[in-house]
Amino acid sequence: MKKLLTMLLTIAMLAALAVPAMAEEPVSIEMWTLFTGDDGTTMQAIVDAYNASQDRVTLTHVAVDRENLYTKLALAMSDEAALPEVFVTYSYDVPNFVGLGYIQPVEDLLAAYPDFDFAIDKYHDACATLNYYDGTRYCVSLDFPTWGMYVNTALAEQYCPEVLEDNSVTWDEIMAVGASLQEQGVEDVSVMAGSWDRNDLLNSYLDLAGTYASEDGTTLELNKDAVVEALNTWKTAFDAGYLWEEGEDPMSMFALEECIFVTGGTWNMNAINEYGFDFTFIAPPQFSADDTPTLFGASHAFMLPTRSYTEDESYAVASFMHYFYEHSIDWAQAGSIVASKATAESEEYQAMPQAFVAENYSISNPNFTYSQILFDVLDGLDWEAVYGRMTPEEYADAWQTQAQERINAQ
Amino acid sequence: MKAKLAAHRPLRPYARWIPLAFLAPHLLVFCCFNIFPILTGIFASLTKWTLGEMPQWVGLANYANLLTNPESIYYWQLRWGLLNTVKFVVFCVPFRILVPLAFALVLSSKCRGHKVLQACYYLPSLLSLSVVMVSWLYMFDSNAGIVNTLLGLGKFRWTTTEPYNWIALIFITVWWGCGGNLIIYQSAIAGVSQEILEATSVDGANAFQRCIHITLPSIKFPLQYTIITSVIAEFGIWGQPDMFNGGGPTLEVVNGVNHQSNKMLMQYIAESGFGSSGVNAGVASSMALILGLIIFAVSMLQFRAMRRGND
Amino acid sequence: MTGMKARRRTPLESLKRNWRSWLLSLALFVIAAIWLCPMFFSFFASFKTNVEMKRYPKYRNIVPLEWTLENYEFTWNNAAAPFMNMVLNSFIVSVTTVVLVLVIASMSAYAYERLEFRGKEKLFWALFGLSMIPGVVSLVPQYYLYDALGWTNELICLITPYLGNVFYIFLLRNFMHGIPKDLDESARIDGANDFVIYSRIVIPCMVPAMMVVALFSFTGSWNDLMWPSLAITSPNKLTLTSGIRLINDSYGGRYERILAACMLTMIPTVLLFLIARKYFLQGLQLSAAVKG
Repeated sequence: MKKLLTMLLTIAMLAALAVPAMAEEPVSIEMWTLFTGDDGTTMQAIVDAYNASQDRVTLTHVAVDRENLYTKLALAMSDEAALPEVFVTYSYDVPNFVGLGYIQPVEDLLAAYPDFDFAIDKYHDACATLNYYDGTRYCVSLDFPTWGMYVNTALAEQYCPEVLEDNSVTWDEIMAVGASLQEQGVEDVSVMAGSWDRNDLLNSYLDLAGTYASEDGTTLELNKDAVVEALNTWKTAFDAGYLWEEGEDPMSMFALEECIFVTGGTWNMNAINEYGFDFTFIAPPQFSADDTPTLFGASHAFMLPTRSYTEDESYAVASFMHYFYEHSIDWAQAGSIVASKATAESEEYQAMPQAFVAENYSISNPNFTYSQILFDVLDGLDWEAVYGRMTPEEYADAWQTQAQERINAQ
Repeated sequence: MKAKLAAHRPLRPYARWIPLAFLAPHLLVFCCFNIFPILTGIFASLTKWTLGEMPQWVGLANYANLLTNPESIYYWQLRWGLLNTVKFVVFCVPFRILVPLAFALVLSSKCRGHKVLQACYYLPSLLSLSVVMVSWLYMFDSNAGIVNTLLGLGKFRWTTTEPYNWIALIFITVWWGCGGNLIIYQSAIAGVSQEILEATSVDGANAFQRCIHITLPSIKFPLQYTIITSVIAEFGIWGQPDMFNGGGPTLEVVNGVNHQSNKMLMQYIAESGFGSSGVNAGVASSMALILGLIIFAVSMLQFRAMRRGND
Repeated sequence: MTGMKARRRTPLESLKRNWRSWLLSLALFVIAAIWLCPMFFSFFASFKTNVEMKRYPKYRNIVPLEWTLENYEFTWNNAAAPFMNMVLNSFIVSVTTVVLVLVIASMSAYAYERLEFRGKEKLFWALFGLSMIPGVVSLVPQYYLYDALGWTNELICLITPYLGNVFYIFLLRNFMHGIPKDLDESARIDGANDFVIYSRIVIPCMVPAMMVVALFSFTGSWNDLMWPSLAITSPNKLTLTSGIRLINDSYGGRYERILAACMLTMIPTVLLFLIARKYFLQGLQLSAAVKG
C-alpha cells in the first residue's frame, strides 16, 4: 500500500514537472567564432540584442582566437558534448572540413524553416560559389573579409588625380606616380605601402594566374611564372623607392600621411576611420586595366559541426542566422562587406566605403582543400624576395615545396 | 663519495615505507597527469597524425625522414633549428648566469636602496611574453626605436641584420629571465655566514677576493642548479624569436627550404605540431623527442661534471 | 651585521665608505632606469590612442599627448570574458598550484636528499629525463586525458599538470644539500621521526628556497598561455592570460590594448612579489642563523 502510494506520488510529481517543461523549455546554444577584439565586441552586441528579442533561446557567443580555433575544433570533434551548435570560420575551410568530416550540409536545417528564407539569391552573389562544395551548400555567409587598398583622398588628388578616374589602379600607374613623385622631389610621400605580404602577394598572384589549384580543388598547381612575375613587380617598385623602406610600418605611414595608398583588409576600416582624414577603399594594383578587378577575399560563414541536433537547437541556430541576416547593418559598421542583400540595398550601407567595393568588384578565392596551408607557408616566407634575400625563383620554389610536403602529410 | 654517505647515514634507521610516504604525493600526480601525455607524445612520434584523424602507425619513418632524407623540408628544419638553438644556448646561458650573479653580488653589499633595486631588476620576470616582446619591438624598431635614438644608429635594422638580431634576442632573454636566477643567488648569498665574511674582511681580503673564495663556493649548489636549468630553459626558446622577427632573415635556400638566421627548433616543432593548418604531429613529436634527448644528455653531462667537481 | 656595528669607524673611514657606497648606488640606479626603460614605454603606451600609437614613428613621444583610458575600459568590459571573473579564476588556479607544489615538491626533495632508498638516483633521473621532452607536443594528449576525465573547462585541469614538476624538486634538493645535517641528526637522537624533522627542522631552514619556488610557480601558472587557451573554452572559466588573448583583433595590431591588458594582469604578480620579498628576507636570516 505504502509502496503504491509512493509510486503514485512520484508519477504525479514527475508529471507536474514535465508539463510546464514541455510547453516552454528554455533552449541554450553555443556559437564559436574567431571574432576577437573590436569584432568580438560587435558580435557580442548583436548576440545580446538577439537574446533580448527571444523568450526561449539563449545564445552564448564564445570568441576563440584564430590560431586556436582550428585545434579546438579538431579536439572537440572526438566528443560531441564539447562541440558548439554552430561556429564561424572562413568559407575556404569548407573543402577541408568536409573531407575531415567536421561539418554537415546546412540544406536540411535551412529547408526546415522556410519562414526564415535562406534562399541563396538573397545573399551576395559571391555566396553562390563560396557557400557550396560539390554542389552542396555547407555554410551560410555573414560577410566577406577582403583584401583591398585604402586611398588617402587628399594626397591622391594632389599627386595623381587622373589615376582614380576609372576607380582602379594599375601597376603601370603606380610606377608612373612613383617616378613623377621622385621627379618633383617629394621625399616624405611614398606611393604605396603593402601591409601584409601574404595577402598582397596572393592578390597579385591571383590577378595574374587566376588560381593555385587544379580544377577539382584537390591538388596544388602553383604557376611559378606568375609567382615570379608578381614578386618582380613588387620588387621593381620597392627597389625604385616607390614603396616603403624595410622596417617601416605601413599602417603608420598611412596614418602619418606618408603614403598615398596602403593595402589593407576591410577589417582595418575601423582603425583607419580614426586617423581623421578622408579615404576610399578600392582594389589593390592590377596588372591590366581591362577587366573588373577580382578581390582576393574569403567569407566568414556559419557552419554546422557534425553532431546531432534537437528540434529546439536547430530552430535556435536557424533563428539566429536569420536574425543576423536581418541585422547585418550593425555588423557593417565595422567595415564589413555584408552577405545580406537586404542590408546591402539599404541607404545606410550604400554610404559606407566598402559598399563601393562590393558593387564594383567581384570577390572570390580559388576552390582548394588546403588553402590554409598555402597561406601559412606564404606568411612564413614574408617579403624576403622583395627585400632581396631570396630570388623570386627561390621564393616560388620554397612556397611550392613547403606547401606540398605539408599537404602530403595530411 | 661512499665514505661521505656512510658518515651521514642516519643513526637510527627508519622504516622502509618512510621514503615512499614522502615520495608518494609527487609520484601519484606525476603518474596520473604527466606520464600519459609524455608517453602519448613518444607514441605519436611513431605515427602519422594530423589531430583531425586517428594516428596511423608508421614505425620509425618519421625519424628516418628527419635524419636521413635531404629531400624533406623537415630534415632541414631539424638541422637548422637545432643548430640555431645550440648557438643560442651557447651564447645566451653565460649571460643568463653572469648578469644576475653580478646583480646579486652587488646587491648583497646592502648598498643604499638595495631593496628598491632588487625589485627593479626582478620586475621584468613578472611580465608575460606578449608584453615583453611588444615593448622590445618598439625599443629595437629600426625607424623610431629608442635603442637607435640613444645609440645614434639611425635606421639600423636589429631584426634582420646578422649578428645583431642575435644580440638583441639574447639581450631580451637575459632581461626577461634575469629575475629568476637573481632571486636564487640572493637567497643563497644571504645564507653565507656573515661571520666568516667579516673575519676575512678583517684579515684584509678585499671584496673581490671574498667573493671568489667564500661567497661563490658557498653558493655552489644553487649556482649549479641555475646553470642546468638555464641550459634546459634556453633549449626550449621559442616565443621571443617568434615574435621578434619570425625567425629572422633568410641566409640561404636549400631544396626549397629557407634557412633563417635565428629560427629555433621549437618554432618548427610548434609550427608542425600545432596550429591552424598542415598539422603533422608525428613529425613534430619526433623532433621534440630528439630535442628532449639532447637536452637530457647535456644535463646529465653537466651534472656528472659538477659531481666530479664537488667530490 | 651585528659584528660590523660593534667595530667603531673613524670619521674619515666612514666618509670614504659613504662616498663609495653613494657612487655604487647611483650607478645601480642608472642601470635600473635603463633596465626598466621598456616598461616605462609600455606603461605610457597603454594610455595612448590607436592613432597616436601609429603616429609614433614621427612624433616619438613616449608620454601620450592625449591620455585615454579606452584601452583599460576595453579590457575591463571585454565582451569575450568578464574581467573580474578571469582575475578570480587566475587567483584560484595560481594559489592552489603554489600551495600544492610547495607541499609535494618539498616532501619529495626531502626524500631524495635526506633519505636513502634503493634506486633513488635512477628514479630521480628517470623523472627528470621524462620531463625534458618539450611540453608543446604533449598538449594534445593532455587535452584528451582531461576530456576523458570530464575536466576540460574546469579550473582543476589548469592545476594538476603542474604539480608533477621535477624542476622544483631539483631546486629544493639542491638547496637542502647546502643545509648541514647536524641538526637533523641531533633531533633524530632526541627521538624525532622523519615527519618531525621534515616539518620542524628542514622546512624552516628552507623558507627562502620555498619562497623562490612559490614565486616561480605562481608567475608560471599566472602567465601560462598555451594550455589554458586550449583547455578552457567557456568564457566563465577563462583565466587572465588566455582571456586577454581575445583582446587583440583577429588580425592583430592593437598593441596599446594588449599593453593595457598586460598592465592590469601584472598588478597581482607585482604585489605578490613585494609581499613575498618580506618573508623572503626573514627567511634568509633564519637560514643564516642555522649555519652560523
